[in-house]
Amino acid sequence: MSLGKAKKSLSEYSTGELVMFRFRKNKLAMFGVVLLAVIVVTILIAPLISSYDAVVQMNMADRFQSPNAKYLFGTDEFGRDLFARILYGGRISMFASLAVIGIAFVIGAIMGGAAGYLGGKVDTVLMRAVDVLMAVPSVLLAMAIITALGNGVWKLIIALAVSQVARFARTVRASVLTLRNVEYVEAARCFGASSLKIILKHILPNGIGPIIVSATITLGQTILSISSMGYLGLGVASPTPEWGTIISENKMNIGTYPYLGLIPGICICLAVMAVNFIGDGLRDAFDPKTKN
Amino acid sequence: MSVPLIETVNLKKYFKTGKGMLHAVEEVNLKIEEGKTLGVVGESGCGKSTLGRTILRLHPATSGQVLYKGEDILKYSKKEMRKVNVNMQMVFQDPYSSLDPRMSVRGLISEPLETCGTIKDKKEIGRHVEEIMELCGLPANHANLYPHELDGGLRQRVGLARAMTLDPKFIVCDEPVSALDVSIQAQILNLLMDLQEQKKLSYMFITHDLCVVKHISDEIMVMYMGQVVERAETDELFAHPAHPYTKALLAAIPTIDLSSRKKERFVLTGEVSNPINPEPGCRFAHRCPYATAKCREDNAPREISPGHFVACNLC
Repeated sequence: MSLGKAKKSLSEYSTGELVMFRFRKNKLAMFGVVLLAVIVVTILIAPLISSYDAVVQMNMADRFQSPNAKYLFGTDEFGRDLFARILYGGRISMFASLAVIGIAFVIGAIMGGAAGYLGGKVDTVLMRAVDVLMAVPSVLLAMAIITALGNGVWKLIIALAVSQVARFARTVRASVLTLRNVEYVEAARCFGASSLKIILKHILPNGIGPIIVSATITLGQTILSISSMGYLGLGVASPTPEWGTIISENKMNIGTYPYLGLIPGICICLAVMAVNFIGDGLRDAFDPKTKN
Repeated sequence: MSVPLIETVNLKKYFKTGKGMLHAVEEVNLKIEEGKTLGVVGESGCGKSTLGRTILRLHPATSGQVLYKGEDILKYSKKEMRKVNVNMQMVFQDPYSSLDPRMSVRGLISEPLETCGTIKDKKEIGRHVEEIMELCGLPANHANLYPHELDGGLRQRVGLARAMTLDPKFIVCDEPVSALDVSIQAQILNLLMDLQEQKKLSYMFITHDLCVVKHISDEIMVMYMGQVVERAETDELFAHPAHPYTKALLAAIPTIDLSSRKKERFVLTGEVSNPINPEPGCRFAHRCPYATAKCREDNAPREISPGHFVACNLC
């Protein structure tokens, strides 16, 4: 009965449209999208809201101002506008995280895909390399790489990307491995589909769920990692603002002026949460077994 | 006689394992004529599915030949193989795992056409899909449904339709009905037989269900641990089973005839031995009540009556 109903409305949509349709019905995911959109748009139009001068300009007369009409998020010990610092700091936090995930995802997918699909010696060699990366905790690995390369946004990105490659390689390999010998893949081989076509048409769509979830959760973690690196003084160095760096530079005064830690902390939380909601929503949307 | 559609010559398939070579398919010789069905029976793990897959080159063969219309396709390059692929298809056992859960029925059936590029025009593909769906008894309004929305029988019809889209000459049916309940089994078997009649198809029908194989096959091949123990026409095999293993198999068919229940059945003892690095000679020897020392050396198949081959020294 419900089948007959669904058929009529479904027949006009393609698979891609259906994924979008299911995604849009997921309220939590849409909330994530709106939240992330607000954050990203605000960060993008930062120059329209506040000039970069406000980020570094010290104003000793206005030290430790609680949030008010002039200083929306208040000021720090040097009288710098916290709102401007968070606005511009978000640019680094968000876009560096995206870059980290992008790089780690591409390298990890190629490594894991090759290992899983080709198997044999390729698999052994690549996976032992991954094991080596996995053996060191990712934060420690990133710290070691930064120490070797030196400070800087791009160096931070490379360090974090390398420390996340192993996770992606493992996830992708696991997906590919379970799907490589599935009967519908054999069926595709039967009518002469090439390996590339099989990967793109069967393995990727069916294995994408865990990969996307892993990517978004890692994105959330990476936002945190970048902030923690900043807090530890290994990432973006003060006075350049970055959410973690902001908390770090105010750590002496958080006890007295909690807003200095709370506001950047909330920003980090919101960004991580938005990304995680989107990840969960995407995973459900890609699965046709979820109710339409 | 003309050249058979499919023929294998001493086809072997060994798998490398940690403990040694697993002899999955051993020196199999078979012939399938156009429009005929060869039933392959044997217990689980006897190599029947591996044989089917090796013939289709889903597994690389260890040695031997697979002849399609007299030409050895094992020597073909990937490109040449693609042309032959069109004529050789497979229907799988599990209608759940053999269909990509993320593709609609239409997508599944049209995929072989898009892959092979035999038909380019989208409308033409759509028309062809509708034709095939009708041919396989799938209602046209099911085209946009996904596999999880269909029942087992309909799913298996989709699997069959997918194999049929390229208009093949030969289909390996790997236990196509064993995952279905009996009433649906009959529908699918009848569909297979109708298609065979209409399209002059040849089947290699792999199953462990002797009643099914009797119903559909022209010729039956009995396998035991990778070896073909007996091959004969269906009626001949059921009337005069020669190999002790075949006799035991036939004796295991349940019967509704009460009088025959009192008769002593031929019951096998023992277990299947290890297929890794097996001893030479007849693999069945250590379970066979008639086995002699010679059986453990050699069991080359002999023709005991026209078209009836047995790999046993004593029959």
